Amino acid sequence: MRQTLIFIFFFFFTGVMVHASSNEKDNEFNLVEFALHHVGDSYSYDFFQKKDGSSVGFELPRILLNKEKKKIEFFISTNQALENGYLEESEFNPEAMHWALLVPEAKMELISLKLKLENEKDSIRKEIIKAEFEEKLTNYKPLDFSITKNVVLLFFAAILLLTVFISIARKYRKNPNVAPKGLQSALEPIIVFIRDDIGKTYIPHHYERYMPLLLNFFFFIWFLNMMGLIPFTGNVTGNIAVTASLAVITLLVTNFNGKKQYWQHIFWFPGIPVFIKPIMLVVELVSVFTKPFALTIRLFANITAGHLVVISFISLIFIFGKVGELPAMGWATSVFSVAFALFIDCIELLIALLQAYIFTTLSALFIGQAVENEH
Amino acid sequence: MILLDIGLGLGAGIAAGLAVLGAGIGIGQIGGNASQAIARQPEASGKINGAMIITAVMIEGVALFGVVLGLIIIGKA
Repeated sequence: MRQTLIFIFFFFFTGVMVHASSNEKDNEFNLVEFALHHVGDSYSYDFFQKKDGSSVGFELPRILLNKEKKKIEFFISTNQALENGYLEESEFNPEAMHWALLVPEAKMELISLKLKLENEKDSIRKEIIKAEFEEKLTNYKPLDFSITKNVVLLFFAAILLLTVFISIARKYRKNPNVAPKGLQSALEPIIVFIRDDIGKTYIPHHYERYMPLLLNFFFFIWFLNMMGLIPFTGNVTGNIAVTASLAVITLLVTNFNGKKQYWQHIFWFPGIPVFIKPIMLVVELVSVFTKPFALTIRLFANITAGHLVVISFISLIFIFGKVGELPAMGWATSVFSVAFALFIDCIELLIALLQAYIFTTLSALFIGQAVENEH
Repeated sequence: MILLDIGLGLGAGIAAGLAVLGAGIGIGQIGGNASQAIARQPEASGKINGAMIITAVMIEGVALFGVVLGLIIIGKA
């Protein structure tokens, strides 16, 4: 009974995703565009698309720093920003991202430049005007601090983590020597695992100092990875800005806590002939930055790849359904597609945990190498 | 220009492919040897697993550099 319920549950949600993807505007199914839209960030929180192409969801606020006026402007939605004179960049630049905005002051100048560009016959002068046009386009972009979909989900994860862990911490403080109960007993083994198998193993002497960081890394990444698998949420750890920020934290902590031994190994590697030392200097300096870079790319690539594989399997239904205008083909494919998507989803559950573990472990390893004085 | 595009596309594919090939060989060796080690000494499986994952992840990092390189090449096309 329980298994049947779980199956129906999964089938229902996969079905919802199908509903969202089957209704493209011009009836042409573009897999790449659809998949990239699905894994990307956006300025609105869409739940699904209706048959006529309109989305069900809500728009998110725009916070823009206008460099011309030198002030921060707040709009409740993108449409309100447009009503207040902001321009859509795609009007002037066909390659612009959807809903990229330009400040209102730019309007007259850009329109006149565009006219000039269209009327110019001479190809060399056309290039010059084009360069000026592009420079103006970048200058008139406001600095964008908008609350995007990913930011909403980051806040949500933060609130979730705070409520869960503050309540647990309070229980430990109140009665420290009582057996854990409920949520506490579910999370205690994981916390102990991170302390013993990650903290103590890789940072033997100073692990207490770095435990808050490691626990934060693990649970934050794990929660976000798992959230990415739930329908109606987004792909947060599959956003390279998020993973890069996390890796920069590791970079800073590693280098600010580096002891003498760490810097000695970078600048004057001990125990090797002198003429190799300058070469090692270059190698070690580069590796300071490649380590967090690898962390960034690893998390980003693993999570995004998982999402793309699932979305591709689901999209197969529509690709086959469009072949020869035979809906029956789509129905036949859907059985295998959903089965495979479910299978990949289960693997993704494992990967969500594994990537959080790997990120935490490698951070601990890097920090441990930097703060240990003697091997 | 078409030749250049073809060259860049081929280059990106070969770069990513070779990187993945190397990573596959490396991770395969790690996995095989780790299984052997666990079979010989089951009580040390925890430590072996940890070392296995760390090493595999290092190799994966190198493979990802190959993939990123491929993406950069494709971006130029």
